[in-house]
Amino acid sequence: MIFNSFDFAVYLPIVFFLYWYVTNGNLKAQNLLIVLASYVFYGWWDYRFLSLIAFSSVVDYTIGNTLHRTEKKSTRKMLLIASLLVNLGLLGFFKYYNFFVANFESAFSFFGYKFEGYTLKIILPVGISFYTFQTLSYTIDVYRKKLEPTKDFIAFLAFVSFFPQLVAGPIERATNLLPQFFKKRNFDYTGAVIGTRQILWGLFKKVVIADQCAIYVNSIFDNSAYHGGIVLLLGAILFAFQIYGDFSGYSDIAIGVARLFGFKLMQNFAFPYFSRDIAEFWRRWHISLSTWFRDYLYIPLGGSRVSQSKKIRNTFIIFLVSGFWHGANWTFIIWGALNALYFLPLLLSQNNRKNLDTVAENSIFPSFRELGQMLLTFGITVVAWIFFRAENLEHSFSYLKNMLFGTNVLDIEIPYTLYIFLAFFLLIEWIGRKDQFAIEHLDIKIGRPIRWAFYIILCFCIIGFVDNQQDFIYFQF
Amino acid sequence: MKRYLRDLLIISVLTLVGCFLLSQKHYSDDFLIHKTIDTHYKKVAWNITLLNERSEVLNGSTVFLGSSIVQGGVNDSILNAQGIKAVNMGVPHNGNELGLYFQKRVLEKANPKKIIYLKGKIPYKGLHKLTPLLYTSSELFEIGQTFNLDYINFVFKKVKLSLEYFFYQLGDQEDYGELTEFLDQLNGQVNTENVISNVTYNDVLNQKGASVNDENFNLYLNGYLYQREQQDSKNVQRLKIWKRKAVEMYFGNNFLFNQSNQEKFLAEAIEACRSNKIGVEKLYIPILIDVGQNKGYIRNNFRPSSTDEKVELIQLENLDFLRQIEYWEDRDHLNHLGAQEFTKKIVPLL
Repeated sequence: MIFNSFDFAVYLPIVFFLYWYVTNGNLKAQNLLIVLASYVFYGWWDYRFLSLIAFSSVVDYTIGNTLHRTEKKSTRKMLLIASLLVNLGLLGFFKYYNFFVANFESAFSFFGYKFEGYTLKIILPVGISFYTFQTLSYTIDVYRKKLEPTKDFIAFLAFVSFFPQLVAGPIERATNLLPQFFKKRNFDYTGAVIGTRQILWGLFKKVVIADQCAIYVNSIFDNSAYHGGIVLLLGAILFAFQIYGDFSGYSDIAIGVARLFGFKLMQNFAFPYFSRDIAEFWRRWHISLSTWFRDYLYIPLGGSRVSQSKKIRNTFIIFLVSGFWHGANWTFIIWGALNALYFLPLLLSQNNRKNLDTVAENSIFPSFRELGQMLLTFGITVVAWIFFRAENLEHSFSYLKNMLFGTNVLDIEIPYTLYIFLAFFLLIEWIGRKDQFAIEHLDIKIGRPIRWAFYIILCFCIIGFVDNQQDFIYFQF
Repeated sequence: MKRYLRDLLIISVLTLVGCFLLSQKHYSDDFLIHKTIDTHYKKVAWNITLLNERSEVLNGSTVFLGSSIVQGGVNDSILNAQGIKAVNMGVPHNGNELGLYFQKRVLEKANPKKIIYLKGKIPYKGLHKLTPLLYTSSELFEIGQTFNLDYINFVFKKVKLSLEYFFYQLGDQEDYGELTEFLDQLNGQVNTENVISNVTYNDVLNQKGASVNDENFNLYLNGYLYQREQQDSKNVQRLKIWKRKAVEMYFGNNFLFNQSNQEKFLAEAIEACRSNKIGVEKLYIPILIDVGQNKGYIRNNFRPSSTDEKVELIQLENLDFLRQIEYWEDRDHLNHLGAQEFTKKIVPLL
């Protein structure tokens, strides 16, 4: 089931009603309902893969409790390794098996040997990269004794499968989300209003911005050999908006829906295209994944408090792993490497934590310097996105080459309405850049009549564009 | 909770009312041309330009209305050369409301001799893709549309179009001078460049039963089961048959298929012709399977349409002259050569 579907529009009110009216505030009943609703939500796509979520949940629940009972270091380590093997094994099998076989074949043939691996016809279970990392965070935190394991199996199932963020995040930490399943949840008007507002803004981002950009992005990338440089540049810029609208839109809807049920999920995007350098960009883009890698990979490797050579190694590791997490394709790895190259000069010159505040925090407009920095950061990000979007490396390089050296003929017609919507979108995001999401504090900024008119206009836009429905990009990861 | 639900309800109702108001928006001909000229539906732009700039050619003419089968299958130049004043106003895809729209506009400007609608193998379902562009929601109600899924979809599409129209009016209007040229160079027949493959041509021609693509035309005569479903378990078969029969029972006034409304649109068109003393008929244009082994199967088993009895049906008894691959664009459409041959044959029947 996807958020921008008719099915979800029917499903959500039913679950909302059952949750607040039928469970009568009983915590155990609410948690059980969340588990059932989440399994229905996921099973709507393919019920066979529910067994994977259940299996992963049982393994980490058991390991978590066993870890708590034992103090013996070697046993604890073995248990942690078992959890890593199971979770990463599942992920590796479904996501990377065929990639490794194909690359082994290529490598062997390069050295003149013949190796015929057996590839599998398997489909990637939606959301496996997300819930696997979420359950892993639980086991690692229990191992590090940062978290008491739960004895409540239903609450744990609910934590792993919580439907708003099950298939595309935010990847929640057990330390943040799990305790919320044990707190009494009463309906909170302000929270629900903010949640609904966030859902609305997320839908706008997805349906109006991302899906409309997708029409032209797909056309330009699919026919990149026939387009001039200016069109390819436009395609790459539109893809930058598409992927932001798509993924941050999904995150907004997920966070908003969770809020309707009394849960607070972590912020996943903080206006990344208003970043003044690439380090700031990575503090603002897919925050739940970046911080996951920071906490569970970068810092254990020594982080930045090591020698220069190790800093470089650690930076490359984290960006390459992050790229590889997105998919079994060299394009993602190059995308990661490119971002590492962007990031390294800042890290080595100790300028990576220069821009910790919000751009133009105390003024309406950015300074020329800030504007230049934002445009430069956006520009290099757009170049990296080409690798992210292209079908393969050959496609990426030919796209880049044609973009830089191709003819400057604008041979595609993009409706001006798309530019108007993009300008409107950027304006609203700019105005709300200090908040958790662009229209979070709309009630403080404007009175009810204008605010409601604004909601209604957003609804018109969403309703009007909903027929060009596209899958969320991050479902494939 | 009550306050939240109340606010949500008020905003939802206001949104729906707003959607309905936006769906009442009428668009200018310029906008219709702008939206269709670079699409598969450029024939709409052609029709509108014809109505606005050359409507005199419609006086005393036989006007052909219907889907792409009409658009590509009737060569009005040949008819004109044979002394039958004719204009092909067919537009791709199905929907009687589109025919009715152009019929109304023709009658506003001219006095044609006869309107000829395409006789489809099955009555149309749903609404034409361009209906939101051409009708307002109340106009659609007036011609017989009921409140159903297609109507809701129609309103939502109108919302987008109305927003787009708003921005369109703010910008510079385009000049469609090239349409006049288009009008001079072409007749109403528009074919695509497809060429049917030998394999498909022979497969369809030698088909003895209904092909998987065609059998839904009269599935009701085949126990409501597709050939490919014969290997399913008996229980699955029973379930599918039951479901389809239930849908069939619902055809009269259905929520899902809009079929009865499509019949109403055509009935409305026929009625309008009668009251204006203009002749109205239906024309059957063959598809490839009609010239193969399945003549009996196809020709006698049209699903009845409620308007069939109201008008004469023009159809050719012998279709052997179309048994040549050179005459076909794909399995459902004649190409320009096929259209020439077919048009010559129907001259005596018009």
